[in-house]
This record gives sequence, structure tokens and C-alpha cells, in this order.
Amino acid sequence: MSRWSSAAAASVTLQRGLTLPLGLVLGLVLSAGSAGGATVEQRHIDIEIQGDGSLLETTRLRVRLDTDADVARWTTYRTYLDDNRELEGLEAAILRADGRREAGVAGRDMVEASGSAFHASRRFHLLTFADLGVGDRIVVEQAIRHRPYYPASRVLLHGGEEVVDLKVTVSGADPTTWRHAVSGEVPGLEVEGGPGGVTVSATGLPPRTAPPLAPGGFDARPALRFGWGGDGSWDHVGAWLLGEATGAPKGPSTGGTVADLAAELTSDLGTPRERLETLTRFVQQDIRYLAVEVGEGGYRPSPPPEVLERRWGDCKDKTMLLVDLLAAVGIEARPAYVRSGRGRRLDPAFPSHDAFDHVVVAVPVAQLGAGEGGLDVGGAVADGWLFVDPGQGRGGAGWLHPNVQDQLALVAGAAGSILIRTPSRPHQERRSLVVDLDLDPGGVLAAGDARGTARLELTGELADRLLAELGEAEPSSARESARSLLAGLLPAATLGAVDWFDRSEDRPAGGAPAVEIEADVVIPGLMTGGSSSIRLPAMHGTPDPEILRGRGDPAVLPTRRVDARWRLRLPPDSCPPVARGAEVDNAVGAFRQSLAEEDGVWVVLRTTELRTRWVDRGNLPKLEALALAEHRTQRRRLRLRCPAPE
Amino acid sequence: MIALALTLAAPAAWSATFPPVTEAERGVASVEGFPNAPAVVLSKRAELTLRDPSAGESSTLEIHTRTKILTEAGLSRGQVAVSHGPGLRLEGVEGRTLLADGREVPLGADSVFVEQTSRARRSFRTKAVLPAVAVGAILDVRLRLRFDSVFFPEPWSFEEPIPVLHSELRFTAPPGMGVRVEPTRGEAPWTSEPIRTGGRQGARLVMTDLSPPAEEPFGLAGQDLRPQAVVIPVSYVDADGFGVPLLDAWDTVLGTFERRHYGPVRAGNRGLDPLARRLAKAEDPTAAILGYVRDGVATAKTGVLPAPGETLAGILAAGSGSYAAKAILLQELLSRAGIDGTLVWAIDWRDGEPDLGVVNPGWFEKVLVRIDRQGIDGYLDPGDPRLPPFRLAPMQEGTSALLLERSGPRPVTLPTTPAVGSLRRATMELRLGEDGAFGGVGRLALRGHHAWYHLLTHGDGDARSGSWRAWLSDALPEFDVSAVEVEESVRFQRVDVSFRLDQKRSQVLGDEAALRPSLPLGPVRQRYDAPTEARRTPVRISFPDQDEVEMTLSWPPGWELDVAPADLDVRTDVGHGVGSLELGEGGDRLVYRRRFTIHRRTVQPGEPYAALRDLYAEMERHDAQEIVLIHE
Repeated sequence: MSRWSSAAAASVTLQRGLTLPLGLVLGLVLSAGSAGGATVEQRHIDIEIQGDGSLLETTRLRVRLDTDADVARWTTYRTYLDDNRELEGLEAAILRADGRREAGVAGRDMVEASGSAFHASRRFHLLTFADLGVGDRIVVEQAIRHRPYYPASRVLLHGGEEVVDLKVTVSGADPTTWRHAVSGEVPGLEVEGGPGGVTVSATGLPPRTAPPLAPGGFDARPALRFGWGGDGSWDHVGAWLLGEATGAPKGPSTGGTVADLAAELTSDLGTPRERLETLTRFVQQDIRYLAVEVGEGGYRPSPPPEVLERRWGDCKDKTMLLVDLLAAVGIEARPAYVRSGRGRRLDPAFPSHDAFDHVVVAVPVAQLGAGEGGLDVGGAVADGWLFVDPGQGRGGAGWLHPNVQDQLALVAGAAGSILIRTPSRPHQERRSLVVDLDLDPGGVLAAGDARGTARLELTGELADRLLAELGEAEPSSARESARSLLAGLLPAATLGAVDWFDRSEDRPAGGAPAVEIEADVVIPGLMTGGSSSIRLPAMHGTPDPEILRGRGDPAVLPTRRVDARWRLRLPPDSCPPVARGAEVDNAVGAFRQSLAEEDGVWVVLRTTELRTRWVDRGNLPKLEALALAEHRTQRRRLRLRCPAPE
Repeated sequence: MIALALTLAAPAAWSATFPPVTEAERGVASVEGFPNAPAVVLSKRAELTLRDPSAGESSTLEIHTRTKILTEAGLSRGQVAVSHGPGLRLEGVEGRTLLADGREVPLGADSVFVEQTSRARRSFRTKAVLPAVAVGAILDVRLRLRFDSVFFPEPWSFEEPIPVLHSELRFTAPPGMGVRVEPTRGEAPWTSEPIRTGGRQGARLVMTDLSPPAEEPFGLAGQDLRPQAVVIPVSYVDADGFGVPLLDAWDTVLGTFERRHYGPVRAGNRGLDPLARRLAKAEDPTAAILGYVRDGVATAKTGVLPAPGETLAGILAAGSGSYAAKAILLQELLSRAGIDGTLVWAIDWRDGEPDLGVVNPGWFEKVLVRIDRQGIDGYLDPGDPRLPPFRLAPMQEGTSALLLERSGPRPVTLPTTPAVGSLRRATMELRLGEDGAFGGVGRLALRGHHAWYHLLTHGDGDARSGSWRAWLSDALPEFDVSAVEVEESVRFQRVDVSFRLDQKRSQVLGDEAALRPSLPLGPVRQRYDAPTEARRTPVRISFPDQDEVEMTLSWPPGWELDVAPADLDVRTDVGHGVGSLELGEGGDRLVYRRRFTIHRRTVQPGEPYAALRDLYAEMERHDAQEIVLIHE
């Protein structure tokens, strides 16, 4: 996958994953044991910024192996390399527990498979330490020459192991353009800035392990970011991304086949919104998502006419093609660079090119004829811009993949770039279960068994994934996949014939992909305890409250809405149900359970909504309260109690 | 930069135009019986040209596929990827896209990418991205590969994951080379006609209207379900005009292996005698020798071939050797201790179970050693540190193997462990507190294959406890798990875990307490969703096993039992499920017992499958029931 990858594509094919530009993270200890284990006795990194803009990074690392697991983890030491990152020197040795020193550890290059993308230049240099034992130490000294595309980089400060002695020094920058920042919380870290450089040091850093729901990858770990060129503004980053920095203009071009095609596709369409929808769907559906990275190709899109001709491209190819197509019909859209992925977010305080791994299209709402009157243009709108992802396979302009929701996007323009937070749209990410049951069905069923129908409605990301899977399957196996999904929500239930329907065109969630699965169902023993109670299967939208107890780290969640509607026809002689109502509504989300009688049918409705993707420490108590309410309420049985005789 | 544009026109003579597209091919819009097919392979043609190894010539395989895109989901067929390296060299790739309007867009050199997957092994993956792929387009792709060794022939699959209308394999061999073609199992499903051209001879095998492989969940290995042909060179004539057998019979193969591969390994045996003498003095020489080879020499590679240049002395010095060389080391050490051992070629059922009537050493995954154990065969695995003497990994149990006896190779079926030999037993002692929270202690005992699965895989000390705590936390999601202690023994194939449980506060309601008593081994969920009439292929179960749960639960005054699971007793040929609850006399205590056993390794479609599915349904229904206590 290219450095800017398609969030939507990542969801379509499970094999696809998002990759961070590892080459831009200096000093990264790439052993298998990056989280916990072993003791890093010394980690000194010295980075000299050279006159030609390259970096010379020297690392001295000494690690003590405390357990067999450490031995297994550190037997192989990996260093990331690529075309712009070369190994200039490497020495490694083992300090045996008895004091002997064994030098001359040999290394070799190994290229790693890279999933769906063609990472042509990525490789790892592998050092293999033979016959390591507990108490041994490994020592690595290496020098790497790095030629970044953009004058900024970063160093991971604390990967997870206990670190006794940490020192990171960056020097040699022009003081007038130098800038740095430390992200993440590291108690005891000392930062000493100077003209054109910085030294970060610490002693006795304790081991860190990421709790469940922690932000992913490098965004969750403390890092030193630094830059030595440009004016340190998002404008500069945006201009570079648009091609001005490399001298290869990549702005919209409206001539030739692209314009012809745009005209052809939109010839009978009246409104700009219709033209946007048609052109977006064309790029989403008719241009295959495929990422190729060769050298700077990770940043540089292919010319739109070429993408149009070959009919494949990655997110930046598809974005620039859509920008050109829209320009040809009079809509001046812009590329919007984002850091995609639920567990990721960029630091707005430190402008840098490596903040991004994906690009979408931002369309001024005003150009869609809806801005002034505040009309709903149907889609992910924020600050007057509609965000559209041509890298998605579905959804048109009305649905933005959740990986791109609630993210800061750099809407880039030659005259200036602006950071805008994309909207959160939980109402489009729905999982809705409707179960209609008769608890007095008669026939061969036992007392307490229930018979009826179940319908599961999915919209958004879940539907997108499912449609991708079902679309390739034969009807019988597609039905079985749908059956498994429904059966997973109704333990022990017997399902009759299962049908599934693509409801996307009905637009139940504003253009988001939509699937409906339905089946006849028999649930054994739903009413138990001598007809005294009913246990309705739980469907949680919140995480396990236990992982939120006493938590300090932020939690990352899918923004979504989960609701279950149980319609119960009780036996005529049964007592009415009594349910404790529950309602929590706070900044993070909401949960509500209600019980009502509708024409002789008892309806239990449970609704959970998570509105915030990234829950910071201040909001964790609210999330915990929400989760506790949802879990406890759904755990409790529905009691059937007759009124006391008068 | 490793990325290279592949030389598309490598051998100029080969770079030919594609055959014309017929009107019938243009007219294909769907496939009968597969209305959702995203694409269809109109034709898949392979041409295998075997060369004379005595002349130092390499053989070639040329593959041409013609695919039509039927739906948008089929657009992903516009990429092809092929792995290659020194043993199988990719010489060229050609392609084109024929659009519905008649336009032809060739595969450009800048759309073919070569990615190195291992610099050390010099292996690569080439990906070609066809241009302008759209619904209705026809894609032509041609690959040409070259290889030197004909001793490990690879089976050829006629099928693809999408329907195939026409599939054919043509092969020819040079004068003097004897060749036969075999199905990997059963009867040949193809039609065949002989080929004689320019002194070469061979055949053309054709299959038509092929469905995609069934690939049902929990099924046999894919290779066991697909029609596959393997072209076996049985002999050739050497430079002196003498006939040289190749893969004509297992005797020949064994002789060749001993002469070329195993003999040289045995010959370099310096230092073996004193080692053997030392190990033979152990109380149990077999265990001592196996332990030395298994744990003292790392396993460098699988398969039946030793690494080039390997000797016994060499692997002892390096502390590392191939599976084959380790098996020979084991055999030689046993022999010096007076124990006669025979090498055994064994397969892994996940790679398919071929018919050993087809002579091909490429079938086998590893080399074992068989010894006589008081009149019955006992098998030793020299490369799996989790296996003591006379135990096999579940992937080998019950599979076909080849005993390399001095009198000649002999097919055997490897022994199996009965269900009771692979046990998971959970014992829980829980009490409900006054506050309505469950708490108590538990033990989990794993035996046989269940132990094998976990042995040596969780680290040691705190790491092992932590790993098991994570496992138990997954299995007991309603509880906090603590005080985890673990003991394990490879020799006795056992893992014992003890732990403490406290119900999570999110589960505690104060006046109502519910528990699924099948935890931590349940609740069982139905794995076999497909109705009986829809299941087309056998179910392959990793190994027969038995789960047992015994839970003792007590509660304080003021609480009473509101709901309890009904008893269960289901017995079938496939397995059985039993669950029962015994209430204490004082009404404040109960004991719940549950046993779930699967006897079979393979379950056929039809009635056996129905029995398995029904058994799971009954267990699922039983396990869904809770024990509920309420406070009045």
C-alpha cells in the first residue's frame, strides 16, 4: 500500500492493512519485543542534520535479556531500510553473562512481503544473535543515512521496554527554521533545546504496555518530532504535498480525455450534487483500488489521464482524478490529506508531511448549491466542505468511511491550506436487530420456547464489508455467511431460511452501504424459571467496563449506533414484564432501555450510541458510566410479575 | 531499488500474439449454476515441456489464462501475482485487456512489478496489473516459468476459485524419457489424448465446465478436493545410452535418496560414537537420545531432503540441521545404542492426503523414526520439541506414511489417539457472596493433543502465567482472573493451570446472579451452520477429544436457585454430550457436570454430518442455559 492508503480499501479486503511510513520514524527499535520485556540499559541516538538535508543517525543500544521470552524476542534485531534510508555502518556484539564479549554478529537483508501494495523498496536488515541466554546483553551500534523527502522527521522515545538510560540528540539544523516538539506523556523526560537542535534524555523509564482500545501504532507512543526547513506551517506542508516542493505540478488539468469523460458522464444531470455523485461513483467503482510505491511514488500521484486509461490507482491517484473530473464540470474541489484509522490522529501543533497516510476530496458545499441556504447536501460536511473518499468501493458522496471520520484533514490549496475536522456520523454506522417473538407458539415447541422472525440491519462500514464478501459469493454460501452473522447474535437459536438484501439503493442511512438479513427463528428456553423471567440476548455497543476502570490512557472506539428491538407476545396467562428503565446520555454517547406495550405486544427497545471516536482521559468516566449502564441493564433478566391481589 | 520492470519480451520466440477471441467467448455473460460468479475463466491452458536432465536442460511451464469479468466484484481478477526464485524462474509475463467495444489494451512494462521477498533465498514475487479492466472485458495473461529439477513434481490444478469453462494441460517429454500422468487420488476425471511431435511424446488432458472448489468450513485440505494431475518422469536414458529410473517406484526413489542424499549425511559421522555411548547409559536410552536430537539440535528446514552438504558431524557442530538429517542422526544414535530404527516419511493432512500409489517424494512434510516397542510400532519425531517418545503431532496422526524399510518402502497408516487421550478438564469451585458476586478457584487440566497445542508456547515464568491469564480471561469474560499458576510437562503431555476468579463488577446486579456453567470450556456455538443437504464435503476435525467441566457452586442464606439447566444426554456415533446438575440437600449448593466428546476425525456428508450438527445444536442449546440465583 502506498504511504497514503485507502481506508475504505482496508475494510474491503481483510488482507489489506494500513501501513505507517516506517522509514520516517527514526531510532525505532525493530525487534519483535517492542512492547514490554527485557531491559534497555542504554539507548543513545545522535542525529546530525547535514548540509544537503540528509540525516546521519547513529544509534547505540545495549539490552539486557531477563527472561527466556526476552531471548526469543531479541534473537533477531531488525532495522528498516529503503531507497532513502541506507545502512552506513553496523557493529553488533553479545556480552555474555559471564563477562565475555563476542563480536562480529553477521547480518543480512530481508525484504518483507507487504500485503496488497507493491512496496518496491522496503527491506529490513536482520541481525541474528546466536545462542543467547538469560543474563546476556546485546549491543548494537549502527549508522544510517536518511534522505527524507520533506525536512521533518521523528524519533520514537519509548517503545515499551524498561529503559535505564535514554538520550536522543538532534543537531545541525539552521536555527531559523528549526522546530521540535515532544508528544505523549513520559514522566521524567528532560528536554533541552538549543539553536538548531535538541537533547531529550531520561533515566529509569518504566516498561509500558498498551491497554485494550489504546490508540494504535506510533500515535500512542511518546515521540520527538523535529523539522529543519520551511516555515513550519500547514500551508507549507500543503504546498509541498501539492507538488510545489518537488517542482512537479500536480494541480487540476482539465484538458483531454478527463474532461471529455466528465462531460459524457454528467451530460443529462442537472445539479452539481448529482454531478458530484455520478463522478464519485465512477471513480469508486470503475477505477480499481491498487497501490504501488516506487521511491517517491508513495507521495506523487500518477497523472489523471494515465489513471483513467489504465483504470487503476491508489488513493492519491483516485483523488486527483476526481478533482480533475469535478473541475471539468465546474466544481473546484481540493485534495484533503488525513491520517486515517480509528486509532490514529495527527498532532495539529506540529505541521509535517508524515502526519498523513491517506487523501480524500474536499468539495466546497457552496459549489453544490446548498451552502447559503444551509441545505443538506447529504454527506460528511464540516466547515463548509463536503468530504468524499474516491478510494472507497461504495457509498458515493453520501458516506465517508469511519476511518476518515472525526479526523483532522488538511484541505490543500495553492493559495493556502486549512485544517478541518471531518464530521463524526454514528447514525450511518448502524447495527439494528429487530426480533418479533411469540412465546406461546404452541405446536411442538416446549414451554418457554419462542418462535418468530429476526431481522438484522447493518449500515456503513459493517455493511460495506459484508457486501464485499457477499458480492463474490454464490447465493448459497452468501446465505450461510448471513446466517452466521445473525446466529452470532442469537445464541442457541434455530434459524430457518435466511435471506439477505442489499438495501443501499433505498438509502436508509443517507447513501451509506446497507444490508438487511432476515430469518424465521426459534429460541429455546427464552422464558425460564417457571415463567418468571426472560433473558434477552445482549448486543453491546460499548466496551467491557472493566477495561475502563482506573484508566488513564485514551480509548479509541468505533462511532456507531447499536439498537435492538424485541417484540414479545406473551402467553395469555402470563404476568406482565417489569423492566428497570435505564437512560444515560453524556458527551461520549447514550444508552437507553425502554419497555412498552403496543397492542398486546411487549416491546423492549435498547439503543446505544457512541459519538466520540477518541475518548480522552477527561471523558473516560463518562464512557465508563455508559458502558456500566449498558452491560448491567442487558445482563438483567426481564421479570414477569403479576400485580398483588387487592 | 529492487523494483524492476520485468523484461516482457524475454525470449523473443515466445512472445507471441494471443489466440483470437471467439464469438462464443465474447458472448459469455454469465455462468449457468453460478449466477453470482464475479468472473469466469474461459480457458486455462498449461504446456509442460520436460527436458532431459542428463543433458543439463531445464524444463518449462507456460500458462495462458483467458478470463472474462462478469461483475464489479470480478475487477480484482485484473491482478496476477506469481512467486518465483532459483528453483522456479519466471521468464516472462504477457497480458492484454480486450474491452467489450473491441479495443485492445496491452499490459505495459510499467505495470509489471517485481518485489524481492527474500534476498537470502533470492526469491521474488512478480505482480502484473492489467489495464483498463472493466465489466465485460476479457483478460489474457501468459506466464512462462523454467525449472531444473523434475524429482519433486508439483500437481497441476485444473480449477480456479471462479468457474472454468475449459481447462487443459499439455505435456511432452523428450525421446528416451518415460513419463506417466496420474491423478493425485482416485480415478482420472479428465479426457486424454496422446501427443507425438518431433520425437517428443506426451498427452493432452482436458476438463470442461469446472465449478470452483467447494472450500466448505472445517473441510479437507483443498488439494484433497480438487482434480489434480501430476506428471511423473519415471525414467530417462543417460548420456551412455543406459536407462535410468527416476520416479518409477518407491524402491527406486528410496535407493536414489540413500545414494544421493541420506548416505552422505550418514557418512560424516565423526564424534557420533562417544555421544551414543553416553546417551545409551541413560535409564531410558530412547528418551535420552530423542531428547538430545529434538532439543539439542535446532530444526532448520522441513521436508524429506537434507540441506546440501549436511553431515551428522556437521549438524552436531552447528547445533542445527534439517528434519531429514535430524531423523538420520536419531536413527544412527539409536542404532549405536542397540535400538533398530526405520525412517518414516510423513505428511501433514492440512497439505492434502495423496494416494501413495503415486510415486512422488514431494508429498511428504517431515521424516520420523519408527522403532519396535514391545511388538508394536512406536514413532519418534526428531523435530517437534513438544513431543515425547511415541507421540505424534495431530497433523500426522491417522495419515498415510511411508516406512523406508531395508526390504523396501512400505505404506502404513500412522496411529491415532482416542478422544479420552486428548482431554480438557475444568474444575471450578465457586461461591456467591452476600453482595451477589461470584468468586472462587478453578483448575484447568490439558492432556494429549490439547497439551501439545499449548506446551512451550506461552514462554516461562511470569510470561507464561500472563499468557494463560489472558487465555482464561477470554474464556471467562465475566470474571477477573488472578493468581494463575501453571505447570507443564512435555514428557507426560500435560498442562495444569490453577487460578482464582472474581466476578466483574459490571456483571454484579446485587439481587440477581447468573452464570453459564459450561465456562471456561463452553458455551459451545454451532460451528456447522450449513444444513445437512447443503454440505457437500467431509468435515475434517483436527483430532478426537473430550471436554469435561465440573462446577461446584454454593450460596448464602437469602438467595435461592431460580433457574437451572435441564439435563442433557445425547449419544451418537460421532460423539456425545452429557450435562447434569445435582442439588445439595441443604438447598444452598449444587454440582454441575458436563462432558462433550467428539470421537471422529473425519465426518462424511449426509447422516454422519447431520449427527455432528445435531450434537452441536444440542450442546449449544444446553450451554445457553444459565444457573440463576435470586435474592428475595
